[in-house]
Amino acid sequence: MIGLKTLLQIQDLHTYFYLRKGISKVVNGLQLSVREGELLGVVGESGSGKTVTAMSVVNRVRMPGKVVKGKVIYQGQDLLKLSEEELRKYRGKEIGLIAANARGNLNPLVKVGNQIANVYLAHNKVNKKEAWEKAVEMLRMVGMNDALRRAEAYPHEMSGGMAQRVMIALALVNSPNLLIADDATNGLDVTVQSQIMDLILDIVNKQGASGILITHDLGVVAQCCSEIAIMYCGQIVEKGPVTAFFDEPKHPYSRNLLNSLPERRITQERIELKGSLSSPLSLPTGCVYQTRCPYVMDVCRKVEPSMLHVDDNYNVKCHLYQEKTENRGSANEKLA
Amino acid sequence: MKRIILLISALILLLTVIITGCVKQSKTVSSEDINVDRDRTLIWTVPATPNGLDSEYHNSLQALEAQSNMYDSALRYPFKEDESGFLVPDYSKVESSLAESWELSKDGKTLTVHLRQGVKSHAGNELTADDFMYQWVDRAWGLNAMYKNFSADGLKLNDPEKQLKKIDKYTFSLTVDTPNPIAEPMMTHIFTHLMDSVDAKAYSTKSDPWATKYLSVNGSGHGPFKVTKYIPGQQVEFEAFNDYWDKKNKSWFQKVIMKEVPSSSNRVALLLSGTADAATSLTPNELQTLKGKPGVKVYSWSGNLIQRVEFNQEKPPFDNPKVRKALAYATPYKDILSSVYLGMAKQATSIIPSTYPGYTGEYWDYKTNFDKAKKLLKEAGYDKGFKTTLTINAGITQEQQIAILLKSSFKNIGVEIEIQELQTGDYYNNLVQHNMDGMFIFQDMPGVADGGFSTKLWAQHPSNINYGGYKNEEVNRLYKETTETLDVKKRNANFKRIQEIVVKEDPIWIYLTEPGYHIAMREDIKNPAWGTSQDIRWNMLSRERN
Amino acid sequence: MRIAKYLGKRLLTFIPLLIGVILVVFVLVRLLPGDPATRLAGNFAYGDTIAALRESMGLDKPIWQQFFIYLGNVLQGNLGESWFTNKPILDDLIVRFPATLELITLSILFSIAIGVPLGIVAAIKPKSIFSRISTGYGFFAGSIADFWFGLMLVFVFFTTLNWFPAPIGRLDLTITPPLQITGFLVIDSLLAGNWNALMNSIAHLALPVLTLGLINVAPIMKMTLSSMKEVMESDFINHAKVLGLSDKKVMRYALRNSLPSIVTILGVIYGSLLGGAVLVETVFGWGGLGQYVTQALVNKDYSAIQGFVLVATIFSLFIYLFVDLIYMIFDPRIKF
Repeated sequence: MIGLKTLLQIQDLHTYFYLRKGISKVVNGLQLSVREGELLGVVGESGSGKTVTAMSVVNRVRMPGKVVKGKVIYQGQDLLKLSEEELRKYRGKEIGLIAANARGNLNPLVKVGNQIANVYLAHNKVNKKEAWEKAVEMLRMVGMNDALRRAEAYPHEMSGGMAQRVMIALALVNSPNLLIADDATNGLDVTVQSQIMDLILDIVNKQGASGILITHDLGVVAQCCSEIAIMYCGQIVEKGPVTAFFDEPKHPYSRNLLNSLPERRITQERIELKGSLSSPLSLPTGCVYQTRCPYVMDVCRKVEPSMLHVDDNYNVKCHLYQEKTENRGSANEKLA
Repeated sequence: MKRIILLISALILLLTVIITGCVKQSKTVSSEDINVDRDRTLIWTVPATPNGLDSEYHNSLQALEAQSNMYDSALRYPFKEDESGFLVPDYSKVESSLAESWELSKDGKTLTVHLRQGVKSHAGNELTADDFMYQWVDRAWGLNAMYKNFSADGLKLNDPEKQLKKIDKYTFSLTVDTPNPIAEPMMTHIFTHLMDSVDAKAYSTKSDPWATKYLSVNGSGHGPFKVTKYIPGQQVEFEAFNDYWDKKNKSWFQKVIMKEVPSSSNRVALLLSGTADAATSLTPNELQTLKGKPGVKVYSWSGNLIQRVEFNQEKPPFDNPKVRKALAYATPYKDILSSVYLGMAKQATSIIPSTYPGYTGEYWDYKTNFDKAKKLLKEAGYDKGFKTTLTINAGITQEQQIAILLKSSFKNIGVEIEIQELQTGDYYNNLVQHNMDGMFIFQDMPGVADGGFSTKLWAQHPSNINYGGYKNEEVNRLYKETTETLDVKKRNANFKRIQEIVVKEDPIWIYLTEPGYHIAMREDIKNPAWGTSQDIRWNMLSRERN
Repeated sequence: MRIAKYLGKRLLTFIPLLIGVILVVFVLVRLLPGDPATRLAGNFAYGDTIAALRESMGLDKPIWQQFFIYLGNVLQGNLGESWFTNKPILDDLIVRFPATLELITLSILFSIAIGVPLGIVAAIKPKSIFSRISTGYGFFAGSIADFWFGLMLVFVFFTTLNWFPAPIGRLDLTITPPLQITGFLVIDSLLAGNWNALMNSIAHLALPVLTLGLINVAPIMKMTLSSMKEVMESDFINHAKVLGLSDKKVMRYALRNSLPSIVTILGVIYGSLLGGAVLVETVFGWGGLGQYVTQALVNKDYSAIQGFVLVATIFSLFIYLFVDLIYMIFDPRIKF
């Protein structure tokens, strides 16, 4: 199912926020690629820059943030080089984005049916009536009973789960090739969460799209995704196939993540790793994880590790694997 | 949502219905306007509409002008033309108006008046002696306002029921205790005008027995104009009275619109554009500007206003005549005339207006002289000067400029003044209650063209409008003598001596200016005639287009 | 019916409010310096005359007694009689009300037509020269005095250029007003088919409407700008862009969501204009409520002042009620 063609490639992405306190390097040299048909899970603590990464992909980082460096190549086209007008052909059409906090992201004064129809209208030459019918169809597709009546409702008249379904309908109405779900289930109760996830997976599979699932939840990734990427302080520190990752995570941070949570679930509240996340305002030189890493070495404080290819399709950004890769051995022995 | 829209529209509709309903109901103002062409319409711009039309209560300048054109008195002064073509009263003789003839008894105590027969009021009733009797015996004493307190005093009336006698339908007489030399001038005054008692009585109610409500907004006179529309704050409209008794002086204009234009610069603009025919109450600056403009003519007349600084003479330091004199020597007369009035006013030199019989300017000799002023202050025991206040009326712009000039000038002799500006209403309240402290600028006119009238109002003691409390026994005595004799020589001698005292010996005020009467009109308006109460008689005017 | 119930409740709250306003104004006018009886009596009435007048005016009674008499009359729809025009206050006010209403309604419509578009442009394209000019104008117009501006317009357009008629009210003195139906000259002349009066009344309206209108453009523009800006920065606008909606559509979303606050400020300005147009009315000799109340204040005409404040309060309350109803139309979240 997974093709070999790369759909999206993010190269050395830097997105900074220019604050009064200083420059906040929220995304800081991020590398990531998604192949066609691939479902990639991106996992990180809150504040690691997941959402900003998602926004950078559609080149819609809000003030005072700015993409200062890097490329976002989608089907051979660097999206960061396009004008707003040209970008619009990609946004909502090629790339659908489901944001967390459905309530805040839906227009409170417009009927949800119209909101969906507007997105459809923006990319298709149809009339209003057809767009409205499409909106109702989408609502039906995202599992709303009584879709016709629901289309007439305003966001505030809906439960959180319903609103989230509307968000999904908005993202999928134009059958995008790439779906980015940014914490799509955040704040919903557990049963609804799994329903929503199932829905997303179902639709992605049906449409044959690629997807990036941004989440706190390792469990979700384990269940749904083929690939996983671990994000820390604006960088991807480990990326590889899900099975390989859960068999044997490589990066000290990944291990820490898995160990700290026996049931393999991280939520914002429960994350309690030793030490604290480095502030994006003052990232240390060298490895970003040095402040928490139990294996920290001298070199970690001086030189930033590069993304090391440790296995088929498996990369990790850690000095521990430097020699091993050089020696073609495995670092696992040392860590174990 | 649709329901809300429906409801809002319903609410709007309801409100509209209520409003229009009320409007229709209240539509009492006559909408049948006679269409008079612009030529025969006189558009008269004023700073404010009259405060009312009942002369018992309403005496703003505009009220007096309206009343003078709506009502006639028993007697009047003939007009004479001054060099600029302005018609002004000839005070040397009195002529008949509503009275066909009159005679004063030999002892000067009884005035018998024969009214014209067949004179119609605006309401269509014939003028009779009953009108006169009603006005005095009933209304004046019933209301206890202007007629009783001002006019009756001048006529020496104190018990009208005894003193007034209706002789026949058109004749009445008035008998007083001592000869009254100003009985005739008094009978020319607007505050002795006659009115239609039949009409007034028709509008009397239990709570308003003297029809003040009706007479405040309507008229019941015999004059050349009747009021047709009275909208306070906007305009008053008058129509020429077709049955006016004085056929010779019937109005050429068929309609007069007295239009309130509060801003004087707008009055000027309206006059210049030809929208208005006249602009009243302009500033000296505006008058000077208008003088050179084509299509417009400015008429000026010394009139009878006297502007002065009055003192509260009941308290030190102004109880001392030397102090008053000192300040008179410290006053910058030339600056006031040139920089405040731009040459549009004259120096005031006497308590009597310069246009009135009995006037002399020979005693006024106050050239600005600080040394003399200082010397006088020292003699009065104020060689270190003193502090006092100067109250001015915010409604008269020139007073503020004068006050500033006085303040800096008085500093030279150590007199510090604090300027207190009061709104017109509050200013008059303080004045009539004799509450003015220190000094105050005031301007007023004696409404009767007699040498003694100024003294009667302002200098004799006690007098209700001797606001400063000036008291000089000799003036009192001299004045009293003039009120009881018909001997012209004797009276003139007394007037002369009074002026010597109140100007020179024991000065009552600082004589500032005679601001004069000024009006700007379209050039094609001819024959302006000025009445003693600062009014223009619209019936004398005409438009002459070339 | 919920709406009717809501309206009923709102109208009921008017009653205590109005009684409060009546009480406050009643006391305040009596604190004004100067005695109306003295003023009414003229310069030659003395002690006992004034005392008699005071009695007939009811001013000799204790103030609380005067208040209850007045309140009783007001409840019967009798606002008293003016001491100076000798007419029922209600008649005086009703005659003048349409003049002011016509003036301020057209002015506010003018301000909306200019201010709202300017505000929108300034919000959408904050860096364009056009929006800088309009922002500058907003501050300029906010700081000039209306009567001065009116006088300047008169000087330029009447005195100098003579493009507009003289500032002597609503019609030329020589033009017969049409039969009064609504009191709005423009409407009445239309109804009467009086072409002359129609053109003339429009010409007379031009300058005062321009004066008030241009002055009130400033607050309307600023309010539109600030509420548009706030909305433009909200999550749902961002998300709309992420979904590829056109600029036009995004602007419509933003405007739609700013409308409630714009309508509110419009209501506040409109409500305050009834008495706030005093100086402009004076400059143009408009003969409306503003001029009436100025005279009433000068004359210490207690009932006239009280009547005016009452009418102005009722007017404002109704405007606010309208604004709230409109708010409900615009914002489905507001419930009765």
